[in-house]
Amino acid sequence: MTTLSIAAEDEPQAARLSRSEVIEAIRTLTEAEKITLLKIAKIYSRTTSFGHDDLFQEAVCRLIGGSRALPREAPFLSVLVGVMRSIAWQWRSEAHESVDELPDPRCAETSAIASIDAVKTVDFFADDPIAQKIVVAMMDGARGEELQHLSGLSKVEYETKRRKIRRRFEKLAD
Amino acid sequence: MVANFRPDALSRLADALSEDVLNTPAEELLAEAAEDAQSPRALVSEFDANLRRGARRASRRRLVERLRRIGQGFLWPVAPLAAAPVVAVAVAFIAGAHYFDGALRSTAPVGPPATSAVYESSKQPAVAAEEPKVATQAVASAPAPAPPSPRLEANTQQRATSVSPLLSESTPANDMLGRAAGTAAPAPTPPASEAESVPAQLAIADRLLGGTSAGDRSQAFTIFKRVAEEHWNDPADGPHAQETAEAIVALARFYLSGSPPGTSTLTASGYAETASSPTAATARAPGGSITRDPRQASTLLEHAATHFANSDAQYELGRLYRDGDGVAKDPKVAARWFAAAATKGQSSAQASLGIMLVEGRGVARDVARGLSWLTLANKAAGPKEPWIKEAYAKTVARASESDVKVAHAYADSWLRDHPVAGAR
Repeated sequence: MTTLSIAAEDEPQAARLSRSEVIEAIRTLTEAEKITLLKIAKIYSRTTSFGHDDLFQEAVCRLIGGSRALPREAPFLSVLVGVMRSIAWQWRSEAHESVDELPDPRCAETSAIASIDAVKTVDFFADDPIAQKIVVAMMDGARGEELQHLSGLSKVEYETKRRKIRRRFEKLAD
Repeated sequence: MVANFRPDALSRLADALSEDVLNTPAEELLAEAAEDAQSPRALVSEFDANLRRGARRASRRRLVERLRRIGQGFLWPVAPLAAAPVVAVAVAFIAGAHYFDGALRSTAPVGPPATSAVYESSKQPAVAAEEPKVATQAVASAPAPAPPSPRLEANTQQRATSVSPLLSESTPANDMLGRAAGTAAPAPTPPASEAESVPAQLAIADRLLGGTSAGDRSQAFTIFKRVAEEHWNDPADGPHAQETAEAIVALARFYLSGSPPGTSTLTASGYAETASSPTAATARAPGGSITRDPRQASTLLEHAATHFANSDAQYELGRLYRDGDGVAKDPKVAARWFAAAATKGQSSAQASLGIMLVEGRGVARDVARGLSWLTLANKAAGPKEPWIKEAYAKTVARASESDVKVAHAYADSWLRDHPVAGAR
């Protein structure tokens, strides 16, 4: 089963950067931006069975190959992150799209596998109950102030805790 | 505990953490890189190496695609006899594909929705063999047209007979009409004189639809049916093509409603999207004792969506495939039809496609692209489409700042490129 990719020409898009412009734009990213992208590739690759190298290369390949448009006005980094996220979603078991259509046993199975991955990730934070609570809330889609409120921490404490979570997850993904 | 997590829990976690990375100051990232790899340069070198590999991968893929095309061209002079059966199949295929493309073509200056997005990825072994895990995308960008679906083939055959399903004595359309006329108030069919133009007939039908009695709606049905029958096989670029398509869509909506008299809130402007209201079908009954027949509706819609490339029909057909109503549930086909209508500026289709992209249902999840479609839909949505505004607001609230920026860039640019469709 594969997912459908809406063709680039059919989607809202800005004028595309040319192939050489795309390469140049990626090549001339700052050190910090390159590190940002690598870190994000690691995070998203953790949701797939592939490595971050593969994920990043595929994103570059799609941008250069023109199968994904790169809008001129859009923040370059954000687009590249969006492409990686989309690819990771695609590579992940694709029956997710129909989990609401139970009782398809295949969906139920995939859902269970995905949940096992989530359980493993949450277990990784077992030594830090507050971090674990935040991770679970993130998995449930909570964001921003809602997360801070759930954690019961002050803003500064929460920011520190969140950074620790991110750093631990990055190492988990290594 | 396993069942307590959503299937996309890890993706949501990754979304949140990647937002954190994007919001982390540059100097902090560099310090972390130094901590992880002694020097940020090591990570930058890794990045550059991956960039080179990604570029090589793109070149390889382009080369494979070129070779595939060259190979196809080389076969012709070398083995004409052996290729004869292939040519015969190809002619049939192209005929079907031509019909399919024509059906899906947009009046707006955009590519066919078909979305080259074509989902029959298994039919592209060359690319799949090289890099199986990216086959989907490779196929999505491949120019080869997809063969028409069995339903479309059936539709093609149906066209070949030049007979509208409404013309058959035994069609549910006629049955329905009979029942509607029989059980509701007697509905004298307004005579259609030669002088009465198609737009004038449809204007009368629309006015009747706004009426409160079942008899009015039965008359409206009769007019729509007559227009559909008389112009069923009109050329797609004929003078009454769009009116005919609208009449067919209106008929299909009668079949989708199928409910007892007296429950109608149908207006001349048609039906509101019901993505958030699965029970709305009962709220839009045209009146008369009409048997709900989504299968018949799908047949009608498919003709209007393919032959006339009508965006409302394409959207309604997308809904049927999304919900599995009268057709086998198929989110991919639904997305394809939504994309067809969305590129023409059909706001409900734009919103539906946006939701599917945001949720990763039937299509690869892409929040920014999904939000861009929702943004376009939100701008075009009328007061009778509150669900679009709700969907937009909900998605924006959950999206990251960078996704919103990208989405708006996409949407603004699309509006510039498609001023006509955007102004719909």
